[in-house]
Amino acid sequence: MLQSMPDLGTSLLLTALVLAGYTFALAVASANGRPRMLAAARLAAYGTSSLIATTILVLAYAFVSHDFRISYVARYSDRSMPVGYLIAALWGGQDGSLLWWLFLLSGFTASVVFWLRGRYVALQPYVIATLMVITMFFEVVMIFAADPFATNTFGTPMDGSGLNPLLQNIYMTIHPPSLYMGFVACSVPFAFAMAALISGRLDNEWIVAVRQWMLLAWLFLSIGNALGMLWAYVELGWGGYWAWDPVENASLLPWLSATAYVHSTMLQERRSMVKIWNLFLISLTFFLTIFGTFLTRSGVIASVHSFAQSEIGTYFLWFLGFIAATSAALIVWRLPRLRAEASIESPWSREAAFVANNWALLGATVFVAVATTFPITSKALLHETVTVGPTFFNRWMVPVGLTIFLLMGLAPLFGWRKTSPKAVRTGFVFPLGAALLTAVVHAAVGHRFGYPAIVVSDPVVSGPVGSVLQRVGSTVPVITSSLAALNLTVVIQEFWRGVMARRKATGENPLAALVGLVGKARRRYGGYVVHFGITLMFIGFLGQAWGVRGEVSLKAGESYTIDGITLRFTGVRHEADTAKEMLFADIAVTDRSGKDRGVLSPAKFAYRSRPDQPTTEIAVLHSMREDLYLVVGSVDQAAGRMTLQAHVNPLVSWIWVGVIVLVFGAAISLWPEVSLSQVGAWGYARMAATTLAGTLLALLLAALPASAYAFGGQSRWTARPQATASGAAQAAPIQAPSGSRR
Amino acid sequence: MSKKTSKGTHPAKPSAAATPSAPSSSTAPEAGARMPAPGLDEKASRVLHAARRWFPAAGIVLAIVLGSTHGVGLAVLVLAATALLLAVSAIWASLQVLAGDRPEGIEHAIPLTLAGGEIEQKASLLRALKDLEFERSLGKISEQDYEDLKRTYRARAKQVLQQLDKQNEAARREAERLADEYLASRGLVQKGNDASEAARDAGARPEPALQDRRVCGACGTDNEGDARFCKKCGSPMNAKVDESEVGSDAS
Repeated sequence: MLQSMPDLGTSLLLTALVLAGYTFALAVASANGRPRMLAAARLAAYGTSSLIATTILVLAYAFVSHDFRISYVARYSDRSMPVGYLIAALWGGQDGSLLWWLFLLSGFTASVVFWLRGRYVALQPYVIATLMVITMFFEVVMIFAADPFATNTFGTPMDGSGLNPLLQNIYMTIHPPSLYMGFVACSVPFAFAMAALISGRLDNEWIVAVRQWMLLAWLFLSIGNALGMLWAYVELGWGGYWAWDPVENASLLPWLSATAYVHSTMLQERRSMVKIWNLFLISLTFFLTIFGTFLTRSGVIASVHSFAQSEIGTYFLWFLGFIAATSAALIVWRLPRLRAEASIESPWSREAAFVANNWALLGATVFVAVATTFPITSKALLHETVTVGPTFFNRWMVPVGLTIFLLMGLAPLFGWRKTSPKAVRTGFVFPLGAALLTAVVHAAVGHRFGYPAIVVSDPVVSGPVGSVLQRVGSTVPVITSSLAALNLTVVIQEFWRGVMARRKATGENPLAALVGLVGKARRRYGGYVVHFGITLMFIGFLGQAWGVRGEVSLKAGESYTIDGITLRFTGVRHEADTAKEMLFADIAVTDRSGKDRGVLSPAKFAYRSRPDQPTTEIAVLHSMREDLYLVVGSVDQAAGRMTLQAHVNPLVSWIWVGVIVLVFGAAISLWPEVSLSQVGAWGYARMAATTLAGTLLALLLAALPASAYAFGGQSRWTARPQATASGAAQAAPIQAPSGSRR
Repeated sequence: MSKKTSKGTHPAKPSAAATPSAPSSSTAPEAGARMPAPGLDEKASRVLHAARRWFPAAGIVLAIVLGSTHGVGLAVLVLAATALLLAVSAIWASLQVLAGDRPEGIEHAIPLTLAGGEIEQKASLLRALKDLEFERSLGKISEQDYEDLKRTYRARAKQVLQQLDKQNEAARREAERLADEYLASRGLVQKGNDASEAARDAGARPEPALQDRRVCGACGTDNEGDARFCKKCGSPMNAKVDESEVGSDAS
């Protein structure tokens, strides 16, 4: 343990602030056409980034060496934690997560500066200056309001308080870094947009420059959100994966606006349209990433993620105001130079489809943002805090989501400017036919397989609007399945037509034609693969409509049947290790065909560091058809009784499969489009290696949950075959299973 | 770090001032204002440069080795020390550039003046043109729209190419001068060929030989020998469709 560690950390933060200011000054000075200044600014940016890396490594050392003089280390770690969780504790609390944000930003800054070597000279000074402003903001917040190196006021404790048990799992170690990667990566396109606005170079230059960076940000936002869903699913223990929690929403918002941007950018690239819109979307996306960080870190809205209420909220509010005011002022200043050079000539054009898709995505963004912040606005306007629940979100967001899903399917069928009647006939026949056929088949035989086409739901709001929403809600299963069929057919058809056209031109075999086709048009076909992944995710979301839930109190030896699956409670098991006491409820599962599926063991854990906060550990039996999800409510070991929540969640696994496909598609789109002759063999190899490394990281992040499942399956809920005892007592259901698929 | 940086060894290149993207050459005298650091020759400088380049990798390797033998704490400390030294090195280099002790000011200025974004702009427009061809082959776009859009993209591509030519003009002249000098030193051409220099100064390009030219079958326009499409009507010059035209887009 180094004696001056806390002082060293704070000094590094201060020095990094000074360096960021120095870099900013050099970058601004170089904008006047001074190459020497720019070279110095570039080197200074590397220096600033390295110093920030030093700072976080010093904090990491403090965690590893249990330096409990530092308050943050004492609050978020203890001596019993393994090294992995000690490192994860870096972003487990407010102060450290701000430093983590800054560290990722410094990584992106160094990468961008390196990438910019010898290109976009006119934009470079402003790009570096903008990134430095963001860096300085986070430095200021940490130095004045959330210093991760602050020492304990009342002396050094013998041991730390330990990390919140909810955060001690594999998802905690990968979900925040991934989401933050997405958040921070949005800074780069924003910096380019600001550079374009300030320098007045508002043609397609900056759009081309940020294309890959925005795709990268979008990819990490997607993975981060998916891992967030998974964390909620396996850790929070309420049976679902998305509860419209304010912080979940905050991470969804930039994803929605970034999705809108990756589509609308094509309008500017191809038709020189929607220039203001693109600048707005980039600024909005960055604004929403800071807003998301603000919501998570300030504790202004109650959430499962929120940290304690702190004064950093004020800093964030000022910064949000600064971003909004600067972006708006610059856009207004440059309005005369942002006129579109073309307009939408037909509603049956790709331009119109993209604009409609953008409005739907922006509508969803605004709706989620307003509903999420409603507790604050209602308190300010109505003097009472009104919280909007998941049912409300689901009722309104489902139609919006399905509209986006429909547009996602239709947009690839349209051509630029207008679609000829012949193209409409050839393009639309199969997808629409497939959608109609699916709807008919689903309506006719869906209920036989436990997936009825219509599921009647309760009205959420009264009056005619409520009635309409209820009817729309009831038809969601059949609409979603037919739209999924439409999307799948469109993707298959686009690949088919492309391969056929290429075969006609080159005479290649189908496989070679497919590989050549994708290789020559990575962004287009990578995008289609992403659409395919999202379609799979929608199929997974659809399963929610047929979910069955039940709650029961059981004594050892009693059974309970839910949706045809029999659960027999065999008894309570007690275990302990150095960190916690564990109570497992062993439940033998017999499926609908009478086959023994082993034992699931949902549990209650009581960590020694926080004995008053027992955690709920779920047990899940996965399959592609459905998940059996068990949560133990309370356990009376003496009486041998426990209360059990059982959920049958159909099709959930398709969501995680969809995410893997989505990552694969995004990786295809991200693959560099440089030619060997342009950069040389070494340059090409370097670029390919960089992209491959990024892709592997993304795939690793997306696939880690699978290994986590495997790991969890062995350590937490051992599924072992066990004979079903005869004479099981009758279940005493507290609540009848809600909804039935049979 | 200690390369010779006197005025004589690193004169300001006219190209640095000739382009709109980095128009200033006022820093040129500053670039050579200081003498090299005493005691460090060119070889030592190269060694230092290589050491700086491989320093991060060495730090990581050392951290892994020490981490496996002495625990994670020491590995983290080694990484922190490596990052700190990198920071100091980068800031020191930045100050050197600013003070004129380091030639990077000029060395950076040269690539800075070369085209960067324009090359990507050109690639983007070429992709858009290929995408257009692809959409036409799928029947997603009418002939009229295809022609209109193609005309727009080609006009924009022309602008970018002109900009590229303009930016590279100084470098091209320098390359041609060096080539002429080399050829003259070998006695292959006469030094100071007035006619060729005058033509070059006027920006003239040698006309292709007559047999290199081709006539468009659709409109009869005379085209360059390597043209794949007619420059007037856009009709393909070859009957066989090129492989790269199918599916060669990026959207």
